[in-house]
Amino acid sequence: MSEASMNMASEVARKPLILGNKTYKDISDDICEPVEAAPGKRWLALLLSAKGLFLFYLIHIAIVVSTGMGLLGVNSPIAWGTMIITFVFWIGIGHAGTLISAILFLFRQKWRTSVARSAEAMTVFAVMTAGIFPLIHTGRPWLDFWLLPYPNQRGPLWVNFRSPLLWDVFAVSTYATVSSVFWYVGLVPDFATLRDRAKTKIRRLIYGALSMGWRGSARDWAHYEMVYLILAGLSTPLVLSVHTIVSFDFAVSQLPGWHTTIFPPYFVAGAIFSGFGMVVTLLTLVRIGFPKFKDYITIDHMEVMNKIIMATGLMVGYAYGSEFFIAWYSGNPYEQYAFINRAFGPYAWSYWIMVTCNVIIPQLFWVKKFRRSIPVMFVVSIFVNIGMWFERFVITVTSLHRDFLPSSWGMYEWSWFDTAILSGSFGMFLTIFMLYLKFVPAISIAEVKPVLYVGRQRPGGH
Amino acid sequence: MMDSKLQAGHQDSQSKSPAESGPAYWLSLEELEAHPGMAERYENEFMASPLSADDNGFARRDFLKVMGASLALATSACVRRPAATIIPYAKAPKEITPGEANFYTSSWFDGYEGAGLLVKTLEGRPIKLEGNPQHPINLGALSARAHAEVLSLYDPDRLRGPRRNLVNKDRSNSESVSTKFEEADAAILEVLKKGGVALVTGSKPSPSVRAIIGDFSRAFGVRWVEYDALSLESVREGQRLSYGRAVLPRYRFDLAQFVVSIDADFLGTLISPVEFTKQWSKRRTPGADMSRLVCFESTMSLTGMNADDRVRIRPSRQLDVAFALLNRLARKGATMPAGLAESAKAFSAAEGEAGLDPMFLDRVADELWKKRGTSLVLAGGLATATAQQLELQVVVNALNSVLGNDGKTVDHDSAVFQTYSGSAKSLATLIQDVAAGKVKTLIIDDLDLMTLLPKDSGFAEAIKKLENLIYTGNRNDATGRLSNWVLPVGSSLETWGDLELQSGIYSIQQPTIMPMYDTRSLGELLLAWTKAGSASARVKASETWLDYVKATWSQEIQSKTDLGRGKAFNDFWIELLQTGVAMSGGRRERTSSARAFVGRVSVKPAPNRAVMELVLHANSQMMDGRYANVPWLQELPDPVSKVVWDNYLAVSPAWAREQGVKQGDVIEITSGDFKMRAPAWIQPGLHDAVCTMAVGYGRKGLGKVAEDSGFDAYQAAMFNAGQPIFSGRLVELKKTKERYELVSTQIHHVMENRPLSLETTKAAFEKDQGSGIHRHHVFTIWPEHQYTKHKWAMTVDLNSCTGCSACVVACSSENNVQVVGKRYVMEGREMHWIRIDRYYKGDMASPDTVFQPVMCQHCENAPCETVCPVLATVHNDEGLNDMAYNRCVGTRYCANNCPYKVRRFNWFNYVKKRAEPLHMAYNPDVTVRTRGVMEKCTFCVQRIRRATNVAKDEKRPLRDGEIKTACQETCPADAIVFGDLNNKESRVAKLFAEKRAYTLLEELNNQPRVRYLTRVRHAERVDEKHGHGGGHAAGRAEDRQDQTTCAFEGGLV
Amino acid sequence: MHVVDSFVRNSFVRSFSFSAVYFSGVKRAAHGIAFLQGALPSLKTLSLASMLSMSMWLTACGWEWGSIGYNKGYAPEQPIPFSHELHAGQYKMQCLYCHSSAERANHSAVPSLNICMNCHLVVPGSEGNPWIPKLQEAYAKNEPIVWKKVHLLPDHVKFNHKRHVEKYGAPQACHKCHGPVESMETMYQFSSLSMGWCINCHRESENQAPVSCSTCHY
Repeated sequence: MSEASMNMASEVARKPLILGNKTYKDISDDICEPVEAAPGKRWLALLLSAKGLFLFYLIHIAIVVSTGMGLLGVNSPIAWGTMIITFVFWIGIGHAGTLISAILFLFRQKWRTSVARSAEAMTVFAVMTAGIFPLIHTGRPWLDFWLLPYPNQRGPLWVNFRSPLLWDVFAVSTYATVSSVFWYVGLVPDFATLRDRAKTKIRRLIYGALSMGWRGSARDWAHYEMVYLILAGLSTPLVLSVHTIVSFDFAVSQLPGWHTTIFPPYFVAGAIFSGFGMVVTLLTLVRIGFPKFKDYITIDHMEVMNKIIMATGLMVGYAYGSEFFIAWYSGNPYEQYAFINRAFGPYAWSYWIMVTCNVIIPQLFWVKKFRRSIPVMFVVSIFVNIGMWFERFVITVTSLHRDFLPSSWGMYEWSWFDTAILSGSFGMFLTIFMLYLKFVPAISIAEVKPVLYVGRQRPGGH
Repeated sequence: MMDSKLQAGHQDSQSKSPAESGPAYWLSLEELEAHPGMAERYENEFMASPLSADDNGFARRDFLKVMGASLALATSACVRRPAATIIPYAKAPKEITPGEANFYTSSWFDGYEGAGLLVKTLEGRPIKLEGNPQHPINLGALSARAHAEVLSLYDPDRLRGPRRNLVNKDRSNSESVSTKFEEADAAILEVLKKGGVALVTGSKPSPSVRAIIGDFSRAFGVRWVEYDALSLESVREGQRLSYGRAVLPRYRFDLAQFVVSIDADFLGTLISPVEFTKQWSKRRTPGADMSRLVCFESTMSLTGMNADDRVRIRPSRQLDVAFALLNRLARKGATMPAGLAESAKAFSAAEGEAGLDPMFLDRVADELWKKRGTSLVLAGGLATATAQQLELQVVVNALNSVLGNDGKTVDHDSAVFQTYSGSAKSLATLIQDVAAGKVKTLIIDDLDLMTLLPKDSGFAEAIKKLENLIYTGNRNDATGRLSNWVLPVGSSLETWGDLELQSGIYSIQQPTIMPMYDTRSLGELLLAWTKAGSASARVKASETWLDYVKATWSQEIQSKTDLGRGKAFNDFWIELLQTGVAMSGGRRERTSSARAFVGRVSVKPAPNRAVMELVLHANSQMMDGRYANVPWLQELPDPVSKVVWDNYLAVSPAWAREQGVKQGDVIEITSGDFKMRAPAWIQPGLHDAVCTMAVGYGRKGLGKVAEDSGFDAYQAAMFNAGQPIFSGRLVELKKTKERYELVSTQIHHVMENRPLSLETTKAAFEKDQGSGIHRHHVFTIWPEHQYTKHKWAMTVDLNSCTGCSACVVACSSENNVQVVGKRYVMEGREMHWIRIDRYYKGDMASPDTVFQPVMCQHCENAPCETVCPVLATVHNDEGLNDMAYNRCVGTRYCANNCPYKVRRFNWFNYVKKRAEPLHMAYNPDVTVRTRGVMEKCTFCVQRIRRATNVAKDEKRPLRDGEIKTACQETCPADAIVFGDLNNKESRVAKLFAEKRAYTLLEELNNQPRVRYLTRVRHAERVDEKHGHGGGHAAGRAEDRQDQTTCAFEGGLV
Repeated sequence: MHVVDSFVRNSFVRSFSFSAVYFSGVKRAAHGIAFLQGALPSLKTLSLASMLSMSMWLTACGWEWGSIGYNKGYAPEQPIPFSHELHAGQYKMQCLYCHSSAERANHSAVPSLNICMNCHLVVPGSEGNPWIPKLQEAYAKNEPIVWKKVHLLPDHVKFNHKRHVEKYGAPQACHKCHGPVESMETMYQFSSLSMGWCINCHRESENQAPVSCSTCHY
């Protein structure tokens, strides 16, 4: 064994990140192939169905906005329903992308390179899907601009800086801008690659404009890496702060079941949990859609993510347990009733769906075989997101429907529009994601090439 | 300045052409060749703004302003508001100031209950009814139904002109054509002249209407019959059998220390509930002589829920209770009346199987005997209309005579009721005569007899024999469709009239709006017809109906009243119009001597049957169903069951469990050939062999609102040839597979051991006035905000509140609160700003009940204010939580964070759904909220604003009680008090300091501005096991109190 | 540990030049679109122009020049060109004579025709002036004159004339909001009547007027 390979062996034998003996040229071809080739039948079918669902979604939003919030199931006492639940759901999903591309970048986790681009894209699209809800869930959506602190001639009449809904406006808009800039900066070198490989004039024109004059010079790379590092630094606190503020929408109130201090970490863990669930769901489909990607997004990548899913699932499970303990420990009858009612009241079915999907089903991943089997992980990741939607449903609806005065107890009046808005939001997300897969390289060429030789013998070594 | 120097410098170089001098340095080839365009380009290169400073007056600094302005204007497209017009009167009437309300005194009567009114009119139209404080009967309070008169005036479905039905022989077709009154008068006069005319009306306690009917009947030989659907003929008849004179006595609850009610809902529907509630609530102030109420009831009525002790009985056992008490009193030394001795013996023998608890009856008899002269036993209303209703009345009269109450708590001559003067017997004989063809023309005034009379009255067949049927009513309803002429009489707010509710107490009824449609009141109709016949002097002398009323008052009434004695009629008339009521003083305070009891009764106790008994009763918001088309009343949660828009068949929880019947299962009720279907409602407190149903629902032809609301229960009654039976009918109930959605605004009826509507016992109260309240240690590190001007607050006395819900309708009328309809109430979207929470306590078979009116508490640390993102709800400097409707975006977080759940949201644009003339009832002082806006109780801020401005203008401090909120003003029990805490002498400040006062959910430290006063209940339970049918699980009230407080030893998060 | 320090220090140093990168990046982008040079204005001018217009818009709407949505200076043409300058200015008529409801109610009503006719029953007005006959004819036919409303507050505002007139007296109170009416030939809106404008007056210490929401919105 050569001296070089000796110290190689003394290190833990690294598993290769990229399989299939790829060369740099192969990488560019494999990743640019879906972008440059004509759209496949399956992709077109998926896109059209997603776009249909998206139109269906827009039509129903138009009806709700023009007729009134009463079309949904919200009422008194449950004044928040599907829209707020789905808003928190989508914002939660976004957090995994930022975690992968920012935090794991700062931790220098090499495996992130092949999943970072799609995860980050999922974040941006999830935030876009979520961003619609704060605007359309209000009673008078045409006055939503009052939520912004702009100078006015009413005295001036500012906004209420003590309200968590206002913090939401700042948090979500910051999150949207930072994560889209971070995603776009990462894309610039890849756009330049596409621009150089472009055959047609239009493609060159568009990718040229998008690549902002990238010429791949050492100077460009130096600036690029510095910017990427800084943006990763900026995005890291966002992963924790945005969902903390979203959890303040509930934690700051007085309601039994909402007014608990565990909410911020509980929501962030839940967010990362559902985020990785969605990443695993999407990437299993992407690997099936584009078989070449299997060499880049290998089973090892999926396995690592499944481990994270299991970890954050346990954290969320811990949070459920701690809520019950605190309710008992506090001796406050309203809190005690709120949690007993959650587990055994009229909405117990949603509570137990949540617990099974979030805590019990991910335990499958203790078994290595399941952790590495695509069908199992796909099914588990779907259950994870179902569980997480129900977690927000349980928090919002069960605490609101039975709180302090028994005389004002009520039930949520689920209507057709609730289903339409919920399913429609997936239509929006999937439409944008399908377009992304077609027009943007789904794996970051620029980041995958440097890690080509991780855990592999560099050819022509001395 | 700068640019001009720059330009000057520039001109010099330009004067010498570049070509000759040849610049030493050149930027481009063109410059070198002195290309013509170059000079002009140089010109502009350094000029910051393309508009030079001097020629057209735009300096560089103005450039930014102009660009900005034009840009902004371009974007905002010159938002100048559309031109609006302002149209003054041509000749302004002097009493109308736009925006200022005028109040006119008037009276209200709906066939059963009456009250003195103050009608608030604005720019010539009535918008709200308030009680006339000077009227001795309602003293400024009003019941829920009284407020509804405004909406029935603006009801879009009422007839807008007389109609002529082209009716065929057996009156089966129904095409109707509109006509003119003149045409109708001509035709009707010929018919009247032919004779054989009969007139059927409801009871008419109005002196001038009775006078004109007298003249009319004398002119055409008309036979006049009065009939009430909810008749109290048995009470009048019982008085005649007992004392020789048929009279409807006035019960003095202000003198009664101990009241025993046998199925008499005097706080909800019996005779004059507002007057009785006023007297009753005064005697309920906690203290030594606090009055006590024991109810023996077959229905769960409002009075039963306010009783200290309630015993559920079957209607057939009402007589057993009366005789049981009589026998016990006899044993205590009272002289048993001769006529009853023999029946009493029979009842005392059969007492065992009646299922009544003898020990409880002993204690009640003891109490009655101790309180001789200041106690009262009463029975009456539909629930007592059994086969033995007369015997029951006689025995009850005997009890009152034996106890010496007659003349004291039972006033039988100084100011007896003039209402309920209808008689079913005379109507029965009339129907027979009509069937026999003796009557050619029948005139029916505002009584839909086709619906109100059960089938066995034979009315439907009889009217086929009539030549002419004339119906004077505002709807083309079941009777209207069969009549030849339908002559709309309009609302009482459009016509003159008067009222003598109790003998000697006269009040005037003034029109407060020009008649909106082509309508004539009954008086005008009869006056017009009588003028053509052989008219009396008074008819000839009076040109219009007003003249006739004035003539009646001057000839018959003026001399009998203090206001009128020794005065010219015109002065008396003006003063009458201002005060609204005239009476001879002291009439209502006088007690009189007891009458000799001469009643005889021979009746045997009913055998014990295991068959279900049906009890029909009236409820306080619908009564006979006349106001079924008023949205406020349809959506008013029933005071007992909180069901809206429907009636139901109430069954006991035990029976329902046994039959596997759930809420809303449709039950088929059969009795002999009668068959009917109705949804079941599980009502705690009903006897297991009793089912009850409210009349007045399901009436056809009243209008869109009343269209399919509820089930017609009149058909379940029996006319029984003049002695109608509404209660005690033996029925079989069979569960069908159908279901019917019964909607209620409160789906949970137990307090879950939480300290919400607190209650204590009289004994505990005497020891410690704050008993029953668990005080929480609440502290704050912030100094309390100092209110320099006002500090508004409100107290609600749970001991006097009877739960009648009049405040809910008054609040909706004052604050333009919308009605949303049954479907949206089912989805939890009702809009009432105040809701009456009703909780059951103890054993569900026969529970105790507590009420709690909950409105916005205007908290000091308001949880809604911190979470509103746009500052739409903030605290103002007078302690109110202001709701700025125009600033609200509609995130609804404030509703989520309000622990009292008193905020209401406009889910849809309900304003657009309000049919046309109903919008005239809006109060312009209160903004009408559009879609997407939150709303809540504002402590009637418009009244606060108006009163404080008046006080400021008159440069004087605000007097306590000058501001009355709408709910406080209409509350018959004076339970609500509003005022300024900064004024230490105000009633509310004193009540706040009372030890009985507590705040709802005090432990949340919201510091609410509303305090409740605990309810005090006479709980010296007669003994552990008492006649509550199966014993009272929670034992004595004191134990129950401890049970509720112990759950609270733990601290709070 | 030191690895982390250096990394942290580097990133801070580099971030200061962050802005430099961006601007140069923008410049670079301009070159990138080499072939676009002629057809479109270069990106630099485009971005400068957009920034300029944005800043102008912000400064413009920040200023108190009240013409978006408010009617300052609105002087509609009335069916009868009634001159306040003539009646209130020259003849010194009291405001409250015609607008009598201003001291009794929230609304200050435009005078009904019978108030005009108190004088114009006998006062014919100047020679050949068509307006007085039009007034008299409308009064005879009992038809009101349809005036154009000059001062229009939104429906959700409840202004109380009585309070203001009671506090400051007739002409002074009127001048505060309606301006020098007696010098107005045709009535125009003197002040913006915007919420900020009212609040500034309420805030002045000598007025001691409440500024809570329910003062005007209830």
